[in-house]
Amino acid sequence: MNDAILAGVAAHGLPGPHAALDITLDDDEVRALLLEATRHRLLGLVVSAVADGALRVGEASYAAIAEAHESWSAHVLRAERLLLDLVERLERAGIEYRLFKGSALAHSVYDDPAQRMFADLDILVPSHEFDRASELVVSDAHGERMLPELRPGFDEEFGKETLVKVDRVEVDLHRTFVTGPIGLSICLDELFVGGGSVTLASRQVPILAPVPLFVQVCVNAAVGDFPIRLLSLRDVAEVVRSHHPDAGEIEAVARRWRCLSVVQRAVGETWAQLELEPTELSRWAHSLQPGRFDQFLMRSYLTPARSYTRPAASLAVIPGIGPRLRYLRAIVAPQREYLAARGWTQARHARRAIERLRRR
Amino acid sequence: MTPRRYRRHPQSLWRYSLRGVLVCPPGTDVSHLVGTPGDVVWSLLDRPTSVGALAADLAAAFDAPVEEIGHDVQTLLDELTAIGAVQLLLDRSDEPEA
Repeated sequence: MNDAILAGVAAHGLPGPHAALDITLDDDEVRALLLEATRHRLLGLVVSAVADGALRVGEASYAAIAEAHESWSAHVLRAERLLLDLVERLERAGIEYRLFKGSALAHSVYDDPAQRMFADLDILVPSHEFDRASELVVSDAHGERMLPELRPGFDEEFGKETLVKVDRVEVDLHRTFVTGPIGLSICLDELFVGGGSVTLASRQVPILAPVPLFVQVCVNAAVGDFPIRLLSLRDVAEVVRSHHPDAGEIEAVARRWRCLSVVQRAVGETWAQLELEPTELSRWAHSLQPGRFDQFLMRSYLTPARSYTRPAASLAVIPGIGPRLRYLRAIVAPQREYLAARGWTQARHARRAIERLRRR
Repeated sequence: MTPRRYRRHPQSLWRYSLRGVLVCPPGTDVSHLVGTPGDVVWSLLDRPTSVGALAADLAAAFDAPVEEIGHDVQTLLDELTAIGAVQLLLDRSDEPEA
């Protein structure tokens, strides 16, 4: 699949050279496009481009695109039905939360929610409520925890999320945006200050305030997936388009959260890969000069050995000897249940770490 | 007599697609595809409306006879009401029928 076509789909409708996408694809090209678009979660934007006449395809391909999109959309609706049940339970239990990523972005920043595909639900809860919220999803909503904690208490103190499968939907209960040093540097209490909401089946569901929302989509784009998913870049562009976040406010927050390199990389990649017209915000991001420590933290996410470089870099941001030792112990010697769930032994865990670090 | 009016069930979820709209009624996580031009009817059901008003809007949009369209619209509304995605409202109120 031609990368330019994929980027064109990802940027469809945004100001730039792809705004007037005008391409005819044969059935083989559509098959290749569907594979890549699914990988990049771009099916919704493929549908928009076809509906707008920007992508012209034959009858069989049209049906194939529609079927693929409808199948994903059925899953998305199943997830949102579950979401409504979960937020009802969280609210009844008095647990504060913010919906973010997929469903939150689909309903708050995209022109049509059908453009923004997602596979799972992402719900942020305060650290001190993390265990209670996980327990509620597991016991009350009949979920199944997908992976045990590294060690008891690790998730609540250092973890990014706990994954719970409810029926066919994965629920990611987060305490922070990303695993590793950047996730550990984010001031978690600030995520629950202010915020907006999306309306889902007549219910107001709380989401992040614009600046944390912008930083979150930047974190996801810059260090969330390797290689970068085009939909994550589109999220950055959509949040900028919808909220026009203030550069000064972003800089203050990103500096505090050690995310300046991340914001710069996310905005830079978004504008470069989607070939967007430069804006005040993209010029501002380009001009940023993150400190060397912030750059070091971000680099720990971008190596092939990131499963090990991230924890190593995390030690540099965890305050206090006690917490550092607890973190190190969990990383070096996870509990047996965790290793068993991954099909590992302690020896294999150690060998794998050494091999990956050597390959850096 | 006031014509019977319909509207989307407030707890319905949906996504538009290339071939219509995928509707997930309340109380279930199963979706149903409503083919074009049913998606146009769905978009007009965001507020209480009668079969006659829907048929008139569609007849104008698709340049077709109102009587023919009225029959198809009624069939579609019966189906959507049966699966719970649409509510039939009581006369002169926005309350659904029991």
